Amino acid sequence: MLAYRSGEREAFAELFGRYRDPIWRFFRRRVFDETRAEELAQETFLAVLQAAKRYQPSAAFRSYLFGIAFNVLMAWRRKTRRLGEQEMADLDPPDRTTDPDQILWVRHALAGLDPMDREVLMLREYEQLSYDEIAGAIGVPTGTVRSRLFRARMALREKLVAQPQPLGVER
Amino acid sequence: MTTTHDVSRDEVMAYVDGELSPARLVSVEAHLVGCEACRTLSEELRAVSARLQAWDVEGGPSAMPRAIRDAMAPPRSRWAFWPIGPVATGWPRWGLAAGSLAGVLLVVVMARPGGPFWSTTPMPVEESADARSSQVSSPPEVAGEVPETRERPESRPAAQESVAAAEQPVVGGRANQSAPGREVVKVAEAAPPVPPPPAAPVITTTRPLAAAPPPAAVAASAQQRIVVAPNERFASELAFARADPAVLLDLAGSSAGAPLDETVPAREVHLTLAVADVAAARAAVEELVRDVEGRQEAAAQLGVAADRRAATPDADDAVLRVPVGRLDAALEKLRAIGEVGDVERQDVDLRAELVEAARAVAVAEQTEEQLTTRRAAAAEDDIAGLDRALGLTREQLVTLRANLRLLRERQSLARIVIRFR
Repeated sequence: MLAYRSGEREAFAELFGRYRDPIWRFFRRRVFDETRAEELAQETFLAVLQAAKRYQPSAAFRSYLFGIAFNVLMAWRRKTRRLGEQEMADLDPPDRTTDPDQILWVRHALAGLDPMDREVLMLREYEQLSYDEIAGAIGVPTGTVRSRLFRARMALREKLVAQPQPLGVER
Repeated sequence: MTTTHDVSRDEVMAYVDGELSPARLVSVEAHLVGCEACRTLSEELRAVSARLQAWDVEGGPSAMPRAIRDAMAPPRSRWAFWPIGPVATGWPRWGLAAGSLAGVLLVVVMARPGGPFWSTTPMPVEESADARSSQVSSPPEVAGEVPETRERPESRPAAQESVAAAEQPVVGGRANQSAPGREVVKVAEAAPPVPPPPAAPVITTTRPLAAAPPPAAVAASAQQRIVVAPNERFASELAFARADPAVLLDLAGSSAGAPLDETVPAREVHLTLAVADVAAARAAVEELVRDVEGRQEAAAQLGVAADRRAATPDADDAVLRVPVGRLDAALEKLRAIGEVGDVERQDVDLRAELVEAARAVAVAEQTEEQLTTRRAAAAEDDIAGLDRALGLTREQLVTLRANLRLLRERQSLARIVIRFR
């Protein structure tokens, strides 16, 4: 970012290449519509570009980037009045009578969590952010991240661990 | 083995996530060895994470969207963007040549002297504020769309300078953007870029290890071994920290340290014990241990030795550790259990081992102190490497201190090595 700020366009191209997929996946897991997810991901990078002159290198760039993505997501949800559960549940409901699909079961389990607990959990499990990075991204103390993460995992423990592993599910 | 539960459940989670400090990591790991409940919790947490990973998402489109390409800073030459070509010369040359800024802003100004956009009213200087601020840059507010980040050019000191330059009268036929009534349309970089202030927390180059004044001669030799090469910042520390304690003893130098006036004997007695019923004899020896020492550790050690007996009947069957002053009394009690034979007394001088063990601990402690000092002043890029070296050094310290403690115990406890027959 510092390199880009001092005029090296290639620096941002490198950043984009490195974080394109993680940001895409961030939105794809949270937004039902693929086209909308792509737009929000693009919006995130545009916001990074426009805020480059204010960027300070005192925090991890990942924390900064996902903080922007989180803000973009929250703004979109405020606009559309969606809380996240709806995206999780809008997807094809699981067939619970036979073999529950692992992915859909995870989605519905996540949909049952407190919204902020769910975001903290997903930033940890899927975006692989550290506790401090999550705290910086969503603007809460690290201790809060830890307690929310623990609460979310305990809530999922009963639901997910008790479910049998379906055969043939690849990971 | 700890008997108090001093590890919280969310701390177990932090351990699974690798989020504990090196010192706390050692404690929690030690706790997990003896706490089944916490081990179960850690396994369940890992299982939850594993199940969550079942939800995979494919990657997105690989090409950079055009909107982002367009929004990236344009090439350094700005001439083509000036609708009035010669007007561009009003900007300082360095302002144009210094390259691109974030965003493309369209600014329409009324270029009149004294007009609102050419005022000399001091504007917030963002770069200076950045230099002074130690706060984390928070992500910008986004109201569902690309955030509005239009800033007036004169918010930057360079912009002010450029503005002042632009107000100069026309020279040589070049139009002056500040001519009365002149409307200037600038497709601008928000302002000419400003070099990062010197005080900005930028990445620093490797600094050589600052040699702390050695408190003793042994410290000097140890410090010479901790050398930081420019391209291998913490390689020496990591190698040191990973070294086997025996290697560390070698690293600590020869035993020509402060000599002890006396030998430091550790008494050992090797004997055979002929018994009719080995199991009964083992129980009697355990009773002896409790009687002589009152310590559980020795009994546990005896139990382990007895387990090996069945597999290797000729192997040493038991090792007792009794206070030196009670050695003869313990031997008498063994004679009451069975026929004692082949008694061999050996005294081992622990002086050299003690000196080396103490030296190794001192070296490790000095390394820890040096790494801690360096970490306090380290650049952000160096902290992860320093933390890793610190963690490994501290792990080694735990081992080295335990070795030293055992050696000191050997001074005060005699070992009776019993072979059952």
